[in-house]
Amino acid sequence: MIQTLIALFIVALALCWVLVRVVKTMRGKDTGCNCGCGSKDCKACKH
Amino acid sequence: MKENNDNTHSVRLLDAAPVGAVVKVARVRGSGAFRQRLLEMGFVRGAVVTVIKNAPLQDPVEYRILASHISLRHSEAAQVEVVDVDEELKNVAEDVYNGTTQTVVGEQDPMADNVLRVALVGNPNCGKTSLFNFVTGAREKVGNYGGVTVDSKEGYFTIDGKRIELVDLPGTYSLTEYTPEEMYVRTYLRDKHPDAILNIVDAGNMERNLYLTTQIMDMNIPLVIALNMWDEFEASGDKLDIEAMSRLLGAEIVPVTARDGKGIPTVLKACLNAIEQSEHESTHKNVNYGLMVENTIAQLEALRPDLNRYTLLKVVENDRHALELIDQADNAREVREVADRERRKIEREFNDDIVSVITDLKYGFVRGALAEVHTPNPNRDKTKMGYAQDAVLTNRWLGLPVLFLLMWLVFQSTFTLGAYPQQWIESGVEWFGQWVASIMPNGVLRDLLVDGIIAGVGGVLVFLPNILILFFFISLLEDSGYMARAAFIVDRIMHRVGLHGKSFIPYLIGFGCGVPAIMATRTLENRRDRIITILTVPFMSCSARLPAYLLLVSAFFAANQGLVLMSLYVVGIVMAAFTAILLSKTVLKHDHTQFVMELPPYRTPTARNAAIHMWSKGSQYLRKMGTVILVASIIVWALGYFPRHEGQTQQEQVENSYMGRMGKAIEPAVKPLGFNWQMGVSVLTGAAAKEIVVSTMGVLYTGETADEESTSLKQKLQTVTDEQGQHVFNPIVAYSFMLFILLYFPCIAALTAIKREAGTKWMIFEIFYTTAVAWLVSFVFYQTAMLFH
Repeated sequence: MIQTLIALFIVALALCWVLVRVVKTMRGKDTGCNCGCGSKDCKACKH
Repeated sequence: MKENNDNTHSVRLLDAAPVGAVVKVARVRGSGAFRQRLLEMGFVRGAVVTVIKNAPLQDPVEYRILASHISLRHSEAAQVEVVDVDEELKNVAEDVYNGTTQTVVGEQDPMADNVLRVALVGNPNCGKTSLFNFVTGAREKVGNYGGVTVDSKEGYFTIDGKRIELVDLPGTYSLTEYTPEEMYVRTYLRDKHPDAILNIVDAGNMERNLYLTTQIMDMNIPLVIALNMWDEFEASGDKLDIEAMSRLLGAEIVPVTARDGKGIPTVLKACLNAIEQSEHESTHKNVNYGLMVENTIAQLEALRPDLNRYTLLKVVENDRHALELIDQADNAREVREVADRERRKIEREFNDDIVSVITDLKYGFVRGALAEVHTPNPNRDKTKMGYAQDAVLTNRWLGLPVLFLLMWLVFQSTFTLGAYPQQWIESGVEWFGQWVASIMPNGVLRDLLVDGIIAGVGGVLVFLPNILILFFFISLLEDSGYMARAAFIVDRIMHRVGLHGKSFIPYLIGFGCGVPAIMATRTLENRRDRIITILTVPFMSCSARLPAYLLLVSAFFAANQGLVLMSLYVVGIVMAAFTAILLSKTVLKHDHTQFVMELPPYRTPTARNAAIHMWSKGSQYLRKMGTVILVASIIVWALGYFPRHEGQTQQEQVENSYMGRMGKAIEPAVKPLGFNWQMGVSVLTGAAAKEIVVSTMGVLYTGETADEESTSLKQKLQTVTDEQGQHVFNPIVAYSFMLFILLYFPCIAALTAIKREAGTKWMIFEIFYTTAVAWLVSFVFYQTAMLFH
């Protein structure tokens, strides 16, 4: 039971992460990184 | 030979000059930005040009002008009128130093700010980023070709207790508006008001580099000049009176070797001194353009004392952006009238257009100054220094084979050398998965950790060595200067598909990852070229697609594995060419693009740069694994795991999962391509990152996420049957599937990059276009192949 709850919590976290990324991108307030690394100061794709 | 009607000279066109000919520029025809670029690159009246060689496909042609080698197509060279080198020309700017001294009163105290700002300005490929990296400890990408820096980057350092912000600006030949980078630098210097400019000058090509310096001098911003690549200059045996040159240009000049940091502390101290001096009344050197132009500037200065000489000169040149500034004031009409009248006078007097006249005068100033301080080594033929390798690498017969051989070597090494560390990582991941499974009781969390996270992320982690090796070799090619030669060699082919050879560089980067490749298109001047390149880059098979290829090729092609893999890359290139032709003949119709490309001298790549490049790529890949791929593995696992039904087999469980239902819904669309629902779902999840295609297939076929070497997944793929008992996979289905993976829409990261660089409209076009192409190509291949099966 505890295993299931922890696993579901991890899956929910992953879904939240996706949701936040999608919303930020839609609003144009993404971190400035577009290589998918998620870093705020990604040197690879900083404009 | 094309002759031109000219009363005084036997004028002909540069494209008609044979290889080996040495000629003198008489005039550059036409108008507009391309002509201006030619002038700025040194094609001014009286400049000597040597025809070096034709590219292996006969076009473009390599020319030497000043101390640099540049590439021009025949059609572009036809804009330059030339005469014999010993022929006298009228109205050639005299090569005399003619500086004037201006007193500048410091209006504000720059030292009052907490942070001082120094802008790095210089020609492309003169070593700005190397210096920036050395000073700030940053790890920005550098390469031995122009256009590596496409935006500004800031770094900080402290000297004598003062914190200084160093801004690395894109390389630029002048401060006009020919390319987006030039406009960027010009706007930056005008709007951000740096406290000082650190102008990096290539000591081996001072004449061309100092042309930009003359424009900076007119801006009245404290200036320090770093003479970079001083080691090469000293080795050449030339002599330079640096003190005298400092006096002539009115700026402190410091010799440096940015690659190993020699002279950098001195140049930083000089920047601080220049800023401190600017607080007080100081003397400033300007270029003296002669009585007529100086008189014009004086008249305009009286009307607009708030503008610097650079802007006033641009007003005389009828520059659009300078005139916009003029129009903001009440006396705009008066200023424009004076500028128009004086411009006509100057053009009449010099019998040439104003841009040519000013460029000529600037080059005259530079040549005059250099004549007083620079003593070339008479015993050394500098023209061949750094270019000897071209005898083989851009040879008419060897150029193309060597290019293909090098590319093949890079890709082959990526696979063969990468195989060993790949096996070690695989064993490590497998051991870790087994260890976690052994210490945890059966349950959902264990399945998530072992089958979802460890196998999913591990399956992608195994390719890290391949990525590092690929980028190590690309770094060597970039640092050596070979990339520009590759563009030179393939320019004619690129021209055929409506692009410039310079698009070759983003394409090459695209074999690694589409995102930096799309960013690299910023070096292309023409927006139409950029859009076409951006839209076709995703057809270059990126490294993220490799896991899927390796899995399927090893499972279904016992023989000729390398050839099958190579064929996929070739199909991608052919589709990119087809798309480029299609776009350039329809929605993005345009005349051919003109572009002058510089061929830098060959240099020995440094271990430091290669390490920086590999580290940057490796850390980016690891970050991606910790975010996108981790999250996607968890979600894919959950979608294939839930909902749970008691008493069902593993296969039934997967079929009835959320993912199974999704797959069944899209099955009709992929059935004609030979795919089943599992394959349909795999390509859908691959939208997040292409590596996830393999992870998803692992979840759906074996109940555990697997990598491409997993014999269980490979065996399962080889043996899996459909409801009629027939094998789902065979070589035809596998190849059709790989074709689809190669061509269908790019991952979300690449689509975001396309949106930023080209706009939402083109991003939507790309999604539909690439998917339609992938579907059609797979459909045609599968259906045709099945006819003969």
